[in-house]
Amino acid sequence: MTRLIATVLALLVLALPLQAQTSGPLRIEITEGVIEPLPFAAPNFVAANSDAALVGQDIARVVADDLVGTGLFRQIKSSAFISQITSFTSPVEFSDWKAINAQALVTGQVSTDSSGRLVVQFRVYDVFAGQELGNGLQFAGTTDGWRRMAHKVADAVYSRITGESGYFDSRIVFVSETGDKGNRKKSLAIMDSDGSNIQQLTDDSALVLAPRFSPTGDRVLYTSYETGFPRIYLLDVGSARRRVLEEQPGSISFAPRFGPDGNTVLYSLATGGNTDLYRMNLNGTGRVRLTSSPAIDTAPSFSPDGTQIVFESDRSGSQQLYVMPATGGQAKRISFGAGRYGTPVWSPRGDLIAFTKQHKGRFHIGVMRTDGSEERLLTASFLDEGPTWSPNGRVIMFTRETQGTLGASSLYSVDITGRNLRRIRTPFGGSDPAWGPLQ
Amino acid sequence: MNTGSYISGAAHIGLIGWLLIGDVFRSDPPEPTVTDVSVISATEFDAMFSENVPEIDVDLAQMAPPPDEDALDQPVDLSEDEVPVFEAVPDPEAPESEAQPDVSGVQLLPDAEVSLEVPTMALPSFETGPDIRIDDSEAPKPRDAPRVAPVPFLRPDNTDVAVSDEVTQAAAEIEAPEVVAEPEEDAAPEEATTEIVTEAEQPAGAPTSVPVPRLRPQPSPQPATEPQPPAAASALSDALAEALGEATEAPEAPVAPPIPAGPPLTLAETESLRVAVSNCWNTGSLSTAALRTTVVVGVQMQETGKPVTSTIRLISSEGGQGEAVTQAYEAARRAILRCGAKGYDLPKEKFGQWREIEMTFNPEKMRIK
Repeated sequence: MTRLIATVLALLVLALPLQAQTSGPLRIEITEGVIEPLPFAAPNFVAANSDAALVGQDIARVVADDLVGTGLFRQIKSSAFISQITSFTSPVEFSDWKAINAQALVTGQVSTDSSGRLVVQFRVYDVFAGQELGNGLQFAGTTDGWRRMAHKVADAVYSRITGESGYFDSRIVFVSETGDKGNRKKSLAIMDSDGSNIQQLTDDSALVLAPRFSPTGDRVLYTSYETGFPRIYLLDVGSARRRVLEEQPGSISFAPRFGPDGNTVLYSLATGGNTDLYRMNLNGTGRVRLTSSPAIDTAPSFSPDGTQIVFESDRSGSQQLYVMPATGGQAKRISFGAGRYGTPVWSPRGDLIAFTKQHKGRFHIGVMRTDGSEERLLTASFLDEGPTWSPNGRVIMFTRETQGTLGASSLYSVDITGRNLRRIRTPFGGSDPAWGPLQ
Repeated sequence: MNTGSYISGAAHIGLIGWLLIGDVFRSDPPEPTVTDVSVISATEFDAMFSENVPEIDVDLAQMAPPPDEDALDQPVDLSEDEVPVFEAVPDPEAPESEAQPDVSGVQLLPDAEVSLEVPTMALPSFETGPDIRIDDSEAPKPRDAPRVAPVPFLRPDNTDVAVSDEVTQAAAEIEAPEVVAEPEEDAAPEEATTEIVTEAEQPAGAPTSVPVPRLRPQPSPQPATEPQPPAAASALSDALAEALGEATEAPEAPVAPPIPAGPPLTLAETESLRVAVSNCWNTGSLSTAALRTTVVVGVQMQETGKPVTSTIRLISSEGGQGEAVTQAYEAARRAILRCGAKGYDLPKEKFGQWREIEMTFNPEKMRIK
């Protein structure tokens, strides 16, 4: 009976006119929407001349793949197109694209100029608004660089639709792994953000670990067992030349990471059975000891503004995360959840810290606020570790290793929302990824 | 022993006593019924059944009336016979079928004539009973409400003239922000223009000044100017001419009255609109900064329920800046346009209520948590 009365009252209330809105515009508030990939259309770029015909298709494909790979976009197949883009300058028939529910449209033109350079022009449209998003852009480069130009187009499209900077025109350095689990060979390799264009930076004669890009993307710090003991090396990506950064007799240096200025290096140094954090200039001067506890302090990472450092330490009895000033001093513990925390990395945006968590035999990649609040675990598996941020702070790449004697390491990425978990295809196994800056 | 046993024993004793003491078992049997008879001879008996029979038949025929009364109670016979009588009664508008169930009323054929007096009784009641007028005024009120509704939007009738002047001024002011909003959508002036012209004001192609009839579509200015020259009919016409002449830029503004304001939207109607827009508000591709930005977007609607693309504008924002505001606004605009492409399900009779809409897009619940 009560429910009947309540139902009747509810119906009466719904049927009542809104007296409060008798003047002025009708006002409504929308607090819930949908979360789904935004459908877009990317027809083949128009070829202004015959030399650019194939490149136009390839560029459109890479652009679409980049966007789809984010998990934020959904490509509409060309077979669904009602009309085709035959001219880059002709007006767009928005009705044709509305009909297939394309919310964004990317059109482009590829041509080669008199000097043989490839010229790529493109525009992005908001189909339902019937207007262009931003202005058209043009890139020019060598024909061999068409893929990178495609990434730049994708970055621009991504930025105009989402409001965030892109990350497609960036590279990732990682440890390439071959061989069985008991006899694995490791070397440094570099690839584009989509897993293509892989190049080897070192051979597999020595064990290498934890490569880290410089803020400018032209140098890499890594740890090598070339001498039988771990040493930090600095590698120039362009020339593949390298040198030892830290060499102190009787000590072990590892876990290096660049500072935001590109001239400062944080690293761990183990001497006398004790591991502490140090910082030094890239030229080998100005070495400063930042921690001096009997515990193991390692895996340091600068905040984007260079004023703070997050690192892992077992000073409390278990592996936890701490934040301290970049000049050293009092460290504040920020992780208090169950389990062990390690390999923290500060987000390029400065608002989050990614980490590896081990709890109840499972490994997780997670993020938390810089004060340790709002911890969220994004993944869970037999072994996930070593997170690295995309340049825009939206995606995290990490290492996932499968269980068993035949287990292998692979690179995975996940959106900070926890969605769009994807495996990065590499010809061999991969681990320890480090995302470089936008080029 | 319990109380039940006592009660049961007492009841049995009482019953046995009643059987013994009462008149159930009488010692003396009832007296037999005695009937007096007379003995007749065989000849006398035969004489009784021979020649007297015809006389008896005559008497039976005279007993016919009772069967007639029984026949009146039979509906079949009476309905067939009496229906023409009902058709002859012109008073009620009710169809003839009503006469069939009222078969019992056949007996009251004269009562049908009495029914003619009923309407005559109602008429004097209207004239004499003031209470009846009150009842009537209450009944039509709901009908009058929609007609009266446009007036309260403008404020009391007492200020009709003054209000009408203010409205025209307000319209001029509203045009300014629209001009400001245009640069934000600078890429679509051509398409937007066509849509604005076709629907924003009058399809007749009235000159701009879209907002003028928005608030005052009713021809209130005309009756407002009439009372001023109450002298003669010619003066009224002159006043009308002057009134029309004053609005030099909007001589066709009075054409706007077709826009029905109607009563305010119900909660259900408003909720329906809100849900419809929500279904197209896709925050999946928004940046985290845009997901912290609340935007208020204004839009003018066509009577078909479709939004006018060129009128979509950002009114205000909160929580974000720069690019985040732009992205949040564009996502909101896409939501309005996508789900409004075929027209929102809004009551046309209330067009005046939803012709101008302000939607607040608050992504608090959509943020990454």
